[in-house]
Amino acid sequence: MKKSLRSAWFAAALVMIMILAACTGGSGGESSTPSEDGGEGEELPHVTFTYASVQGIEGYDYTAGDDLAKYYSEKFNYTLEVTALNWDNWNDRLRIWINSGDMPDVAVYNYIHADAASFVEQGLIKRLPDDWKERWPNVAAVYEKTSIGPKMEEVFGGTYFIPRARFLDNLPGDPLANHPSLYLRKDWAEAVGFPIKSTYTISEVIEFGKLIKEHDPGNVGDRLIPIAENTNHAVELFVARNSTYFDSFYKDEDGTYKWGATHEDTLEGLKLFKEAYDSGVLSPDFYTVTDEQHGDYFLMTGFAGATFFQAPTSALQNNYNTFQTNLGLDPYEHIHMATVLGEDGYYHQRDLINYWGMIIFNPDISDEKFERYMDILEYNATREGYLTTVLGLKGIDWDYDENGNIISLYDQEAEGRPLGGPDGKYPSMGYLLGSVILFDDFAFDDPNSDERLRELSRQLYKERTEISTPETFPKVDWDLFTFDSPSMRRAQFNYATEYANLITMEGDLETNWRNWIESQMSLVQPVLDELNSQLGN
Amino acid sequence: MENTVQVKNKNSLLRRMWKAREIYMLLIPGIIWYIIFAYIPMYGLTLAFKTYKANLGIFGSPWVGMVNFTYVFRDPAFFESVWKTLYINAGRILFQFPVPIILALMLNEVRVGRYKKIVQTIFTFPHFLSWIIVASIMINILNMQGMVNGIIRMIGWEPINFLGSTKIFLPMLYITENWKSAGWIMIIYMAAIAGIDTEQYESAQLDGASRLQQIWYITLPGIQSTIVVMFILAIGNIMNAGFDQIFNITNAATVKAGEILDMYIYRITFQSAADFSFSSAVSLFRSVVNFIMLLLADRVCKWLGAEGLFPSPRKMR
Amino acid sequence: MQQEAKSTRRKRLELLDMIFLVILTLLALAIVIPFLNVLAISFATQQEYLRSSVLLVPMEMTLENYKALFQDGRIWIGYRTTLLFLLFGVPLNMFLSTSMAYGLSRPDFPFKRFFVYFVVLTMLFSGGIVPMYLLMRELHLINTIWSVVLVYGINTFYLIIMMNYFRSLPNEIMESAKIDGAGEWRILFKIVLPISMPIIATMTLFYSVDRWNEWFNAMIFIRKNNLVALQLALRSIVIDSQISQQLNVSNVQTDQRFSDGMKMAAVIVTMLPIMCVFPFLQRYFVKGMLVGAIKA
Repeated sequence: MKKSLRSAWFAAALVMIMILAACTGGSGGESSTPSEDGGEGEELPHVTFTYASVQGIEGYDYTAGDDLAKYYSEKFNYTLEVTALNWDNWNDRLRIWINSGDMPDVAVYNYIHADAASFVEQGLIKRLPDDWKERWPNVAAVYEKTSIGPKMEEVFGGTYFIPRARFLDNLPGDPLANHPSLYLRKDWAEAVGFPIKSTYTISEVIEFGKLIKEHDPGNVGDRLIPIAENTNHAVELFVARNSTYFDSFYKDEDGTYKWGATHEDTLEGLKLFKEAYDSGVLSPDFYTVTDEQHGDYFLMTGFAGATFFQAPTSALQNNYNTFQTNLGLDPYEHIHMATVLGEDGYYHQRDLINYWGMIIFNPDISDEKFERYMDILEYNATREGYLTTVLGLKGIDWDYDENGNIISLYDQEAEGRPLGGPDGKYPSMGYLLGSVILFDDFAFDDPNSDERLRELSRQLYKERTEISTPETFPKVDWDLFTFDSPSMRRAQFNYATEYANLITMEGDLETNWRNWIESQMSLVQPVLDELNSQLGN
Repeated sequence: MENTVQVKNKNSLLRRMWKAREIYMLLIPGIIWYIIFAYIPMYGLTLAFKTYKANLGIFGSPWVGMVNFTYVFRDPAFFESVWKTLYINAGRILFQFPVPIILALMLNEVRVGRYKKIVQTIFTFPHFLSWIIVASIMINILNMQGMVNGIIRMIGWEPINFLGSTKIFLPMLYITENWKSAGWIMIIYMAAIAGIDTEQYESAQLDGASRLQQIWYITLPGIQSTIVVMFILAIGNIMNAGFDQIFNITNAATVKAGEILDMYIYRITFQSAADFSFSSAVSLFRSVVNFIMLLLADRVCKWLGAEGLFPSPRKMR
Repeated sequence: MQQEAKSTRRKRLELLDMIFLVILTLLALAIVIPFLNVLAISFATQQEYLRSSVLLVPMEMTLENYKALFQDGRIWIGYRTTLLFLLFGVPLNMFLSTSMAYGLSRPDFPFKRFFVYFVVLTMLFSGGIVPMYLLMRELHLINTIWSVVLVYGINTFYLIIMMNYFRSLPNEIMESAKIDGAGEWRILFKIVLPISMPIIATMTLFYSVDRWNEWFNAMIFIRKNNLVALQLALRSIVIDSQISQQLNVSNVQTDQRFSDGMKMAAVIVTMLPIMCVFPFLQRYFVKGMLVGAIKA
């Protein structure tokens, strides 16, 4: 009796599994969310978007989780199913989905030309209708500003990607400089007699680190980290700031293409990097810092004398607040922000194209969904829509004063939580509700951040473009940017890791560097040959 | 004459199959699963000889012959990673393989039942945690500001860069792997020891053999066959050097020291522009090497007189 | 004379015992202390964590980290999804593995050798992730828990262990049942399973733990936000605890939390269930492994 019960249980369990499998399999395609008949969207039939992007919150209800999400979903009568991707593997996951012809309706994609070209060639992403610019003129206006959008349209003979613009009205420089800046402890610098300037060369930064290490003006003790970095930012600080082409191919003055890793500026940067590492200016295990935690050593714990760290205008206020809350010091008195120059006294970088992340569509998306999504983008490309994405709801979180200036009605102190972010008033705030303009642009006008910081940030961007020559801070070489071949695809390196590996390696740096270049030549030489025969002169 | 024999054979085969029909019924669910979820996807291996075009699917992608392999063999990092894999695994066999045996021998000597149980539980537990967890624990205690260096500082020594030194990298791999899994493998040996006839020990005691002697002359030979099986498995796994572990524990300073074949495959599959054909070629290469190694190890053991991992066809009941 | 020899032997034995005890205890501590450290950090305030170098018992206990973790919500979704994997996955695993292992353990039958190689071959060759993804898409299983449940149906290594276990059972029992007219399925359920509890318990544990630790398949096959697997939730908390800005992307203003504390709280919360269940099942595997992994 007992035994037959057992087998019966087994059979029942099996049947259950089968039935459930069949059920879920059958209903997998459609959404189970009932369409809500919102008052406003009466003419609009309800649609459901699937959407994948980084910068989302896993499990958050982006349709009705907060008032801002509701505002959008009611206005455009949709349900939004967001897949929040993680920074460390989002490219991989998206790529598998796209390559399997199974991408979400809409996704934000990190543009890599080699991949993009193959997606376009194989019809894995949607080609926008040729008249899209007439139908959604505001989106088209932003699109033109990104420079990469029209370029890629030229290359592919049609629009496949809608880049999201970093800046629209407030482009702080052309070529465009990158965000990271040197954060420096002003009080410590003064204590060790280090000059306060708006720019420093790399060796001056190292000098500062050495002084801090020697005198420990903050009495931190064992845990002192003169300059706190993670792998990426260390390479950014020491190598990239000295070598314009540290991570790419480039066209030399003689018209031939060369590999930036072999450039003498790169070697010089590596030498500085090694000096910083060997002299203890960097933490001996800086490369174990995961994601962006090195900023914490400066902003939260006060162990660090300086850090080369993210400094987009929109994050400055937050960083300053963090510093104040955790260390109890006035950030405007104790933090000094500066630009780092190469040893030649010029700012080195390649034009940061005015975009980040491209919006792509599933090739099989229905016209209805596609048009609806474009409508959302169109709204967000208008002034009012844009302000809603960055400031929240008009009349509740912000408004215009009698002179037409924007005033914030949101008081973070009183509310006890920030406007956006997982614990904020509107966790859905961010880029997920369909932005084509990123926060950076508005950050310069944001009434929620201190005027001083906005001014400082503007200054930092401007200076970088000024203290440079067309050689040290060039515009994009579009021929090179759009060059694609099987050899090119294989000659991809994670330069930050490679360089950090070189300087932590034992033995003579220059020899190691030569050996490394030597060993990669079998991958790199074919690319150089192709570039020189096809694009060189 | 010949014909009739064949017919007869066929008949008897069919008859034997009919007789075994119930066994086939038992196998059917498993076989269906294997066909759908293992064999159908296996056609993807043909990508090694194709260039993958997503719109054409795996079937429709054009054949390119050995081109992918030419690229593979041109990449110095590939050979480097093959060599690393072998090297790291040789070390694993040397420094990881004996540890569970030694643990089992020691723990077996412990007479206090409760203590034995507690220790056994503690030793076994970490195996059941994912490498994501174990790696974050390890990084937490071993970094420059971590607990271990805290103790080292208290003693007054110079802190050690456990996570970033290529010199300590291999020992770190072996230690963390042992930390995680030695206890679990120990259970297998404990089980084998439990199976040894206790009379042998009694008579040895009468002969005045010391406990160390008993371990050496009775226990070790008693678990020899287990050791052999585990050894074959270790050899057969020679091309898989613990991807999960290395993936979670390396950083920029040690990534080169830990670039085993699987890391290489991961890197070329995911980190640069996607090229599934290229990575399929490398995966196929790895599978073939594994297959050969396993067969070799199995053969060698059978040749040594031990029973191999897989029941040899003739011995099948 | 004889007595003297005996006593010296006993002394030596005690010394040996002492050495073993000391070594084993030290090793056990080497495993326990890191866990204690993690536990302590998860209950500590950031100030204390930063002040002390060796943290085993926090002076000022705080539940802030756990509060932050549970407020975050990801961990709950993770728990729910992973429990679903267990609930449907483990019975499926056990059903497929048991029937197949028992079938293959039967004495010689035609094509047995073929089937054994059929199984073993899959240990060595696999098509890779894209073909698997395409298959799942064809089966309409993407974004359902069934993709993850079905893709890991049989672990071939476990199958072989089970097969060896069943082979070690005395064949006479099965034969006599057969003579009584019982079919193989009935023999499996009525006779074999009841005397195979050690291996069944062991395998259930193994499969459960594998399901518990599942992440890669879930990462690829499931992209619905409310079906995030526990390990992925953990991973995104541990790796992504601060919304990262590696690509120079500006972000929304967010709160700063004590991320190390929250990470460690996540580690504790993820392993707690294993910790609770584990000691009770532990006694089974010695028996299970004894006959399964080793030719007895």
